[in-house]
Amino acid sequence: MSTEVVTQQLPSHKKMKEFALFKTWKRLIKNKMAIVGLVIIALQLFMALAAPVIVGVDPNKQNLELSELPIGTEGHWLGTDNYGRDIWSRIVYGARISLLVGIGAVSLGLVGGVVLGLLSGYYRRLDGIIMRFVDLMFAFPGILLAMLIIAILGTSLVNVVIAISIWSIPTCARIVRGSVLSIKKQEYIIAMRSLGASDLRIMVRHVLPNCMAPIIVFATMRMATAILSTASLSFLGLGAQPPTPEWGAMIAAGQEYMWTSPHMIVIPGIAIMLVVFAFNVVGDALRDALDQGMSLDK
Amino acid sequence: MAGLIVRRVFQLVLLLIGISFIVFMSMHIAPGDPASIIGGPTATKEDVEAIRENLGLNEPLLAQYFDYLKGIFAGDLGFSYQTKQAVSEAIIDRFPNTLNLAIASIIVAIVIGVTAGIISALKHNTWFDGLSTIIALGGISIPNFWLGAILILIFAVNLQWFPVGGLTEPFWTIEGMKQLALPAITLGTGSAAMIARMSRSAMLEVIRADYVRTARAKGVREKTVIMMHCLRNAMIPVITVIGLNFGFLLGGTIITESVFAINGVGRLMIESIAARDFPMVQGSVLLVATLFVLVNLIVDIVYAFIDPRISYE
Repeated sequence: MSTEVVTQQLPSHKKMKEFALFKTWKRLIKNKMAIVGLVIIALQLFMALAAPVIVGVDPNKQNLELSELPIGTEGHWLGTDNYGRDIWSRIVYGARISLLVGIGAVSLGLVGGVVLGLLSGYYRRLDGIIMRFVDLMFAFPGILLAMLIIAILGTSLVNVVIAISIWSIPTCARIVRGSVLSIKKQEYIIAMRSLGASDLRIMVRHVLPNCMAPIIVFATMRMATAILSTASLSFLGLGAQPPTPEWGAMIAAGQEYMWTSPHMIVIPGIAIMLVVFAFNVVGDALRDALDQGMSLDK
Repeated sequence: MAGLIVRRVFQLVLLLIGISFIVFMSMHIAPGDPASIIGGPTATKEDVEAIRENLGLNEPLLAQYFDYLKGIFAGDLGFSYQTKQAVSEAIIDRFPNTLNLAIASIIVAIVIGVTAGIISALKHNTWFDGLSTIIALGGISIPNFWLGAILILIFAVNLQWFPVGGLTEPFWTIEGMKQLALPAITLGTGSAAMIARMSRSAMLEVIRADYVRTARAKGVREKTVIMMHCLRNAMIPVITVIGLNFGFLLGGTIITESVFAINGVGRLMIESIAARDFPMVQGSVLLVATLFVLVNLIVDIVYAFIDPRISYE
């Protein structure tokens, strides 16, 4: 067989990439838990996008005559809180907040972490300084670092996003650095360099795309942590402030009434747990799927 | 081994200096002038200036940092803006409660986590394994402040088996144990889930190892195979997870203390953040971060001791 024939039979780079993605997706949906997680995430996304269509009621509309109605009440199937606000509409709008905060915190953290990780892995001279800085950030248990940042910036939901994103930077930087260190020794990177490609081009066009698998897994798992931490900080009164329909803040407000209206804390808690569970299982399944799926020879 | 310890301790000292610098700087980055906060709204310009002079806030930043460091070594962490109480005193008062809670939680986490992990691995692919895997995933996903509230609702309010909150009795008394039970379960659940997952996978790996097959082939009793050959080796990574979790539990006490109204360092921190009482926040953060890195150091050293294959060269 001549060399030309073999070259013709090889699929294009784009096709190979599509094939790898297809294999990853197939492996992902083989995992039953991942499907459950994906369905929950899709539901949350739908609730977040279509909140005004799903619920006609303003989540902050008070009606003291209807306060603390139990689950199953007509017109308020998840009951109402101590101000007579409809819990279902607060849960739906809360989905929007939790998703927005999660995406915001994770994206900001990714930007910081990827830049630091790329620089640290690519330039040996910067590696020592950046990694010592990362070690220093690791010296604070996560929630503590977030709290210190909130103590400086003040209590608000936006500051929670900033705090969680800063907290995400060291882990992300370490993951990216690890990948960069192994990728930069590959022959195609050496080839690019000998062709005269600039460092920036090599990093952005060739190294970064090949670090995507661990970054995607990290981002998915981090969504779970971000949503859980936002709820925790809001519960402590350091995040969302009343009357924002944030799930953690709803539990904090409901604590006082849990003797008489336990649904005020039970429902938002289940919402948080389901969403965090979903991102955790999808992250887990993605790791397994990407481990095997991205390598074309398997 | 001695080299490892010396190197690790040296790194720890550098890390502690870094932590103290970050904590010190946090006060200077934060908006608001400490002197004005201490003086209160009625203070005149002269009063504020006098306070500034008194606190050394007019000194260069580096000089202030060295003063702060000197203070830390002398056990002086400053005074609260709110109560004027010495920060070190307030922390010493509350620290035993935080430590008791963290230790009780790690015991809960180890007992539940290791047991569930080992049984899951031994009964691999059975209903127990499936159930405990799902529960472990649930345990990681459950918000612990919510779990605490639900436990209070069920066991303190409805069944009245445990008190609703507070930690006032010594932990060795029945009352003290009752007070610690719900907070320890609340805080320990997440770690129990992580330990269970780690124990399961470590155990599964070891069970399939050649030397275990050889032990079985020699005719060693199953109990001995599990206890002597599997458990000892499987527990090495688990110990790291336990150590790391203990550090995180110290951080986690912040939330649990709030739910159960326990007067610990975590609750002190939250109250201080809300009141923008910086010396208190700094002192508590410094304590928890220092303990966290100390625990990690101990885990590193213990890890090298129990597994001679580990080398940190």
